[in-house]
Amino acid sequence: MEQLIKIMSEIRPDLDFEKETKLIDDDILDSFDIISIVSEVNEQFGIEINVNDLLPENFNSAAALYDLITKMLNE
Amino acid sequence: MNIISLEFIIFAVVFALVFFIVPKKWQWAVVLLGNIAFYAFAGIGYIIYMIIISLITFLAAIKIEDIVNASKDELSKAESLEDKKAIKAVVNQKKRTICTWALIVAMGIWVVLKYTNFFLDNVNLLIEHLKPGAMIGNVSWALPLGISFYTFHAAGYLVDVYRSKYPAERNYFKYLTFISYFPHIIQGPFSRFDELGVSIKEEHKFSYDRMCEGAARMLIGFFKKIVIADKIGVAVNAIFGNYETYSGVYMLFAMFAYGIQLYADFAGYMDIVCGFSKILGINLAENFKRPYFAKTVDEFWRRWHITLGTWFKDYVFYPVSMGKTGQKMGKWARQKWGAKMGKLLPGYFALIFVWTATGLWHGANWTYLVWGYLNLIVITMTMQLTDFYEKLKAKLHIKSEALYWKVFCIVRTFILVCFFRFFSAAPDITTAVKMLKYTGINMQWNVLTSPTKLFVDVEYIDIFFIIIGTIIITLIDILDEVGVWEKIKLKCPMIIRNLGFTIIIMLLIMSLGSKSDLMGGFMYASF
Repeated sequence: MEQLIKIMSEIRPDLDFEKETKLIDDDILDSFDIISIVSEVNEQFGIEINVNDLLPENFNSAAALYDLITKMLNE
Repeated sequence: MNIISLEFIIFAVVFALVFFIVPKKWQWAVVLLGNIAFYAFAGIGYIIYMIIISLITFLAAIKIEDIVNASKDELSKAESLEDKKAIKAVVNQKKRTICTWALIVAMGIWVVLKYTNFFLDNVNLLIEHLKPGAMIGNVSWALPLGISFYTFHAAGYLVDVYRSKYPAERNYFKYLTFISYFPHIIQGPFSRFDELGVSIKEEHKFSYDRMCEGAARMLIGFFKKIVIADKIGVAVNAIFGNYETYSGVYMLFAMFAYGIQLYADFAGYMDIVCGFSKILGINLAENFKRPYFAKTVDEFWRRWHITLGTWFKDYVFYPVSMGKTGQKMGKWARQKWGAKMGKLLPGYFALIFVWTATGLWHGANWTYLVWGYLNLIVITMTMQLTDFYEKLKAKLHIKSEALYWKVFCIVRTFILVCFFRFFSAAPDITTAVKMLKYTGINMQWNVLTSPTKLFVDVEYIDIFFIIIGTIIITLIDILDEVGVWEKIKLKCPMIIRNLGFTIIIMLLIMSLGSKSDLMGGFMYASF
């Protein structure tokens, strides 16, 4: 989780990812932020989040994204 | 059937009555019959294209879902992680093949119908240079009503099922009801099956409050279209059609008037169809969020034709930027120029596809491509120069939250989007360039001493309607933008509310008999 928060904070230093829970629903992250986060996460965690996984429920919070990463690592 | 007609009003009333009279479980079937009846006015023969495109995407979606369901059993029996991965790879390959071929055929029909003449015109340009006289004749088939919209609805549905966003619809007629829903078939909004499709299938009770709200919104829509768009459009057509005579200030006026006309026309249509859907209890996606209050061109496109933007974001921007090429570009840019370019470059790359598609979607003409690329250039430049602008603003002691700065940004954005539209308004690039040239020469400043002359070919009484109408709509938009319009609507005493609607109805009725009127269809319907 720490590694994920670090990735997200480097892309959007203005946000507190431990508190935000409506990153997509409230339009806090824009499309450029999302593709950047996905690119970094894919590289650092060795997984392949693709366009099919771009659902609000996977990106609304760091915890939700972490769940997706964990699920992909276990598959 | 023109939505601005008595026959549409009668059609809508009969439709709504039947919709609420029949047993609720058959309401969706009434919608389907209404859609077919509405389509029949444009030529029932054209419905064949809708049936083919919807059938292809319907069957492909079911096949994709069946493949996924069948694989679940295989996956549960798989003994190792490698076996699971191998099964998933085979399933994904099958899904991709079906989805790709279905999209090629469905969108291919639309591409052939819409772009054949554009393609032939360009081939002929080449032939003219190589072998004069050997030109290929254009095709004369007509573009079926709403094909650009229902093809995109169908394609979006198929891709969503492919992405397992929601289950495939198993009843073709229910799916066809979504695809052919007549309020969104002429000029949008772009709807999603998990929103509109589900909403249509639900059972709807009649609600008096909802009817009043929907009817009021329809009234505002008719007002925008009849009192503003169709009247100011007379002056726009007269000036743009004779730009050599009406140069300088006239052209500048027409440039902004065209912006007002487009908004009143398109947003007016959205108010009518969203209002009508509201009466039925069916939720139609919103397409506008006071676009002329946008502070940047990028923001403008998040407020104007919102559903087109989100369609391209979901089905073009993300697949391209997250594809292998986009991701490689990101990594390369990050190593070469740092984190910022690493973040922006895949997006820029995808925006080229988005704006090429957006331009061509609006029209099979180079003018629309140029218009699209002008938007692209300004949007990417704004993103690229953000840091520079922030430094400049700090040096000049400009505060982003200051009212004067917000107003400056809003005016600047309005000027830019109106300026770009020279290219979407002109029939070809040469004319667009000439129109631009005549905007800057022979200024005819003297017309400003008598500004009503700017409203070329518009009667005095209609100038009054345009001005009053624009003021009313602008005031409503300002109140909505600052967040008080909804509160005013709720707390407004009944007598004032009725007075407001009486004024709008009176203006509408009075303006119906005027001489300066385009009396045409909706501008976005031609896209």
